[in-house]
Amino acid sequence: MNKKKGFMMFAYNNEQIDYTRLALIAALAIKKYMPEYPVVLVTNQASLDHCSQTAENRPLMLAAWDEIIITNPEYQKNTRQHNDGAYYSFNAQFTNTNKHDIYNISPFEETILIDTDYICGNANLANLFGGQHDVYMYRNAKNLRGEEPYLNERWLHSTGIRMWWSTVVYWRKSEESKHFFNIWAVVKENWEYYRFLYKFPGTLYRTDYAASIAAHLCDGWRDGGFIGTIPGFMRYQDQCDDLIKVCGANRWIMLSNLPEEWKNLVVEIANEDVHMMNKRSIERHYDAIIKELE
Amino acid sequence: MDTRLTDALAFANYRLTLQVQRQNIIARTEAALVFSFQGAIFKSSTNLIAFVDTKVKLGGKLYVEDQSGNVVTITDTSHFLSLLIEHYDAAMALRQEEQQKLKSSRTTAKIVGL
Repeated sequence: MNKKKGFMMFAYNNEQIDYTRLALIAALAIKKYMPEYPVVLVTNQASLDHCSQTAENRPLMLAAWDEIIITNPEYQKNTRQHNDGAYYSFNAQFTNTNKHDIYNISPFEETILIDTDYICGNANLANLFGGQHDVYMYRNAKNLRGEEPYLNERWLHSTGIRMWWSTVVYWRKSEESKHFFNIWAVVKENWEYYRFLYKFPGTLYRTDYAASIAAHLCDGWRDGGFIGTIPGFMRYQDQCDDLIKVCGANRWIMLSNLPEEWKNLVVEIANEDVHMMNKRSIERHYDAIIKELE
Repeated sequence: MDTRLTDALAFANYRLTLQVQRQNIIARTEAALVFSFQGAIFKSSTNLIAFVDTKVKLGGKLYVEDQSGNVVTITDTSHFLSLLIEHYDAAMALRQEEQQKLKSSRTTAKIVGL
């Protein structure tokens, strides 16, 4: 395995969502559009055992992941509400408390960490390798309708700092990037303090917010260009949206849902990476997506 | 509900779908304009192509600002120019193809290719 540049992803199953299945899709999408780069999965033993138990998963696992790293992060209650379309919601444990550890876990000199619900539709992320910045993240995002995200997904507070999306994080091993991940760890360990300091509501540990605070601190308490912005914007399917049809490996027909039914909209997304926040919608179309990616 | 209203709402939904599809076609072709060169990320445009072409003809050093605002000295200027043109042509060919499909789409389902 080429240890210089590669992709990584975390997948810890819970009682509601099989993250290893999502990780299979995310990894196979990378292999389709950027086959020259290895993909490493970070998971726990229970999730890996669950994935391996399904016979049809085994050849997919070999094709998707070049290496699997087992970690067993300490259980910390972090319950998150998920939506599956506009009319159904459920709560599930969200294990994301060791995301900052990726700096120490990664076998690569340059790594792109992606969430398992981020599905590549082109090779643009590979442009980040060898880039001018030691750390890159998305700053801008647009939903299926091309609209900006909610205010709390652009700013940590209406008079506070801008948010960086931790859905995709590129970094190369360096003193600067180490500072960034170290501060991220400190923010996580002192979450209550930073939550009050940066004035955002709720108790859920959000890695977007922790990474944004780390970026702000590393940059001398301002927005001075320490983090490189991934060009363009991150396309996302909101949790209240749904996937209707898989028309290809990177062509999706989605339903953009709003509480007012008459405003629902059918949208075609093609040739773009998509952050599919409605994880159940991916699971419902698992077989069709795998068929396109194989 | 009054049929005049339901018909108008259905038409409004068609118009909105059409507008969003137009935006999304631009978004997917914008992604095709991006490429990396000498460790920096660039986005092809007619302005940049014209500027680089002029500089190649005039000779001398070529300084170009990348997508993060860093200035990069381009060493292989001819290769850089050919990449700019290649990405621009590919993106515009895709956009034209998608826009042609859209022109003949008269229903919501056809707009999104269902």
